[in-house]
Amino acid sequence: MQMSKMLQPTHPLQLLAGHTVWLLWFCALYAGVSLGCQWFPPSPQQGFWNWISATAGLLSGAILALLLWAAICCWRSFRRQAVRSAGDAQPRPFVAAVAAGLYLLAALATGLVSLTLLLSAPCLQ
Amino acid sequence: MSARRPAAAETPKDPAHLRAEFSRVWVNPRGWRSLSVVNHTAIAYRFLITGTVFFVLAGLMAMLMRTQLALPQHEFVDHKLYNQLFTMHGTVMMFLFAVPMMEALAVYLIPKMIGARDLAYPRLSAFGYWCYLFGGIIILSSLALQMAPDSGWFMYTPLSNAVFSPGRGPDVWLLGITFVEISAVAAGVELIVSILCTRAAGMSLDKMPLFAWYILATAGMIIIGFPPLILASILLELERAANLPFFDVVRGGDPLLWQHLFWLFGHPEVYIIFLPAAGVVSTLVPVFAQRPIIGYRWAVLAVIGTAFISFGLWVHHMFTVGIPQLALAFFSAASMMVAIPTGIQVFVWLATLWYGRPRYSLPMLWLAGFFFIFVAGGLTGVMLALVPFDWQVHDTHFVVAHFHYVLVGGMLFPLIAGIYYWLPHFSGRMPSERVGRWAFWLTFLGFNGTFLIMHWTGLLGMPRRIYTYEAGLGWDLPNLISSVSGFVLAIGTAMMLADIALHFRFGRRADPNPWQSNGLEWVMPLPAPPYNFLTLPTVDSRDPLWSQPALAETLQQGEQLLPEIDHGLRETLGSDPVTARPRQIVHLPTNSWWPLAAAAAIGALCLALLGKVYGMALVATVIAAVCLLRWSWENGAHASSAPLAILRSGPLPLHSRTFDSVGRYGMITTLLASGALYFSLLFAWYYLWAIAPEWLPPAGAPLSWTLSLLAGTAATAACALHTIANLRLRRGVEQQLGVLTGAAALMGTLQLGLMVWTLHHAGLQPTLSAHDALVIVMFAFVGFHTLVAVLATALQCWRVHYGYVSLAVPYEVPVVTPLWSFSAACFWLGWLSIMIMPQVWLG
Ligand code: HEM
Ligand SMILES: [Cu+2]
Repeated sequence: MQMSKMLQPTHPLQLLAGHTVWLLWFCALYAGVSLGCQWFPPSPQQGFWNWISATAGLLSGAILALLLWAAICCWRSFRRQAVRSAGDAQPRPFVAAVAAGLYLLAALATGLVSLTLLLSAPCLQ
Repeated sequence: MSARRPAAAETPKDPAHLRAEFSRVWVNPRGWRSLSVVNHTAIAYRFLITGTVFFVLAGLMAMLMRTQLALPQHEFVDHKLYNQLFTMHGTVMMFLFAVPMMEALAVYLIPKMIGARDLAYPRLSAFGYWCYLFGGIIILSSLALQMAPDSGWFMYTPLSNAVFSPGRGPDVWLLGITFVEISAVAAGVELIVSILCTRAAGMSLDKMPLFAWYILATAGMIIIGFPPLILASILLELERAANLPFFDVVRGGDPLLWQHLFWLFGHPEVYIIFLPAAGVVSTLVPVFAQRPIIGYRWAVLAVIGTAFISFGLWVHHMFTVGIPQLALAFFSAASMMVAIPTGIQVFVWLATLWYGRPRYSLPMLWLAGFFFIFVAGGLTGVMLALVPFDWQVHDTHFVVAHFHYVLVGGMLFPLIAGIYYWLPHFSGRMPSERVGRWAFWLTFLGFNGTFLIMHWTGLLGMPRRIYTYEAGLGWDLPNLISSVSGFVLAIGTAMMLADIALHFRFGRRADPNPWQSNGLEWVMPLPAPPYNFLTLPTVDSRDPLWSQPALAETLQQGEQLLPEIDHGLRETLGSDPVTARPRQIVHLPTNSWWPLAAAAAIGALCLALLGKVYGMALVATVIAAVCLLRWSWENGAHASSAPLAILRSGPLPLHSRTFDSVGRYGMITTLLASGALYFSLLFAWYYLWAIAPEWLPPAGAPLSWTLSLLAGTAATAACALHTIANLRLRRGVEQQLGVLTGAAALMGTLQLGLMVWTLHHAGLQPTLSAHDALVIVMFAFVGFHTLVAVLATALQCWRVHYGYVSLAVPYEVPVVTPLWSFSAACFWLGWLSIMIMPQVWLG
């Protein structure tokens, strides 16, 4: 019951969730690439067609999709409630609206940082 | 409305009588007894004044440095003193001025802005102040004793280790800063809980003053961001004092671990300093633009976004240490990302000014200075985030210029604007516009003269932290200009301080709400009474004073919430974190000596460790523990707190009569900080394991399986016992409460014994291998938390016996349960990392 409440788009924890996911993903990316390069470095000739960049890219894509989906859910919930109560001057729709924006910002950060995967082969020192 | 108002039959009390009664209950004693004061207004004054003293001292150090650098090969101070000066200047400004000042402002303002009579834990505020004061004195006295730290405010090892810095300097830094950090984290916990749980009726999340949002985010960042540094300091001090090799490559450590931990703290730190200042800006801009803020939601979004993203930037301080290129690109991109939320804030302010009718009073002038300087500093930040550029200018004066632009522009200018704005609060008087303007222009021009030039000095290649330079490198003129302007800046600052000091005597008397502001802090008489609000307001908009002009009147007539005072307790309203619907009455403790005594004992501990008198250290620790435990004893239904005999009318319960008290929120927030520390420790473990070239894992499992599993079982059992006690109480079953808590304490003791046995049996060699040393630190961490849980639970069992904890006063039980869960979880996480992961990974 507690859990399902937390997953509602109007729960204040939504304000923290998007960037927490972003931060975890970011640290995983940094750690994963560093360790991958240490243990099984692909040859630099492969450019960005190599297992590290591919895995990192897929993971990033999944996270990006997750964040965008969450943003949409929150935004929809905000629209629904904004129709019912007058505007955002109520705590619940307010939380949903800000959470939607934060998910979007987190998605943007994910997208931008993962673009750097295209810049170079992963293990150049 | 479920809050209690005076019942209709009751004759409304005479407001003058009410005021007299409130003054009696909330009085701050004078003379030597004033050391026991806990009221947030009084504590915040002390913080602000102490912080100003530290600011002046650190400023004087800067002037000495600028004098030395004014001319090439100048012999004003020698390299030894110079190194101490730049280290102390940075350390004092960052740790003893910037963060505490901002927290002090929040400690002063938050209750007044959210409509509360005090912070949630007044005694903790006092404790934080004493830790800050004693720590600051210890750190600064090292300069007088000529043993000040001299390896830079970020204390990089190996320079700061026992080989290269054999003196006491780094010890002073590590111990002193950790001591001061207690204060920062304590204030962080307290501010979070106060903002979440004690807002005025009706002040739902969407109607909170923006300043409260900024402080909420900042306090959250302190809770997560300071522990990495606390851990790093503990590790380095252990390396220096006990020869445990966390940062020594030869024995399986890595000096880069220090840099990671330091900047994991260090980058969030700069935003911890900037965000409250931005909160001041967001508070002042609507007032001086004379209209509600535009883009409230955007501002909240930007604050939360900044707070999080700033935790993903730390490596941009390490671009030159040899990190794979792709990783550099991640951090470069993330660094540029943080400019987006910061930019959103700037546009929120500009839009509000654009659509308002700006008044250019003195505070607004300092805000204009802020806009100009801070935006420029943000731009050089983005330049530095570009790796190739950073490679050129890292460790040059360009970086010095960048961070002074963002820190002075982003923190000092808004702070001064804020102090001028809230001056009537402190003194009941207005600042002088004329002297204030002179001070502003001197400061502004002096600042730019000093630091704008420094960008060029840096681009010309002058490194930071050199005590002198050859003539003829092209650095002579820019350095001279910087030094002369530095003195102009100093004169401006001195004038500003003098202006503020003199206004207490000569300032014009302030009218009520002198700036026609919107916030609740202006409904009270000026200067503010210790209880802030005679009766507590109900809020229906973001700008309560603009939407309810008669509010001040009705509050003073005693017509609003919580007017009772006959019982002699200090009280404020406890409300729902989201909707701010009143749900309980928070009883606030009064003046006490325990905070001072505990802080003094910890100060003595700090000195004993510095002097390596370990016997005395032990004694001091025991005294500190006794003080803290006694402090916790006088709580709940204790006679000096809110005994059961005090019966309450009205529907709202006292918080100690509920399960969901502010205490529980405080425990969970504190555990977040502890969790961040443990997380940093696990990070150190995995980092060294993966990176350190000489990491020495043992061939098999380092600990006995049987013993460690037994210890884990005991941990789980203790946690289960306390959880059961808690659940039963919640279901209304009071029987066996004493037995269950007692059993939990015993089980925890057993766990401690087993953990010691496990370590003893393992025969680790902590001075020879970083691996073994880290195992011991993990055990110590879990052991410490278990010990605290054991002591708290043993006391709880005893309190059941006294009737201080029971079904009628249940709140302390759910406060302690999370501590048990935390300690058990940490045990198993550590066990997994030590026993299982290496086996799985290495096959
Ligand atoms: C757009 C936002 C910002 C970016 C991208 C940024 C970037 C950087 C970078 C890359 C460095 C490292 C330079 C080097 O050592 O080579 C740096 C240093 C620094 N920044 Fe920023 N910065 C930003 C905003 C801020 C803010 C708002 C503050 C404080 C209020 C701040 C305070 C500092 C400090 C204190 C240092 C120097 C630390 C030291 O080496 O002693 N920065 N910044
Ligand atoms: Cu930084």
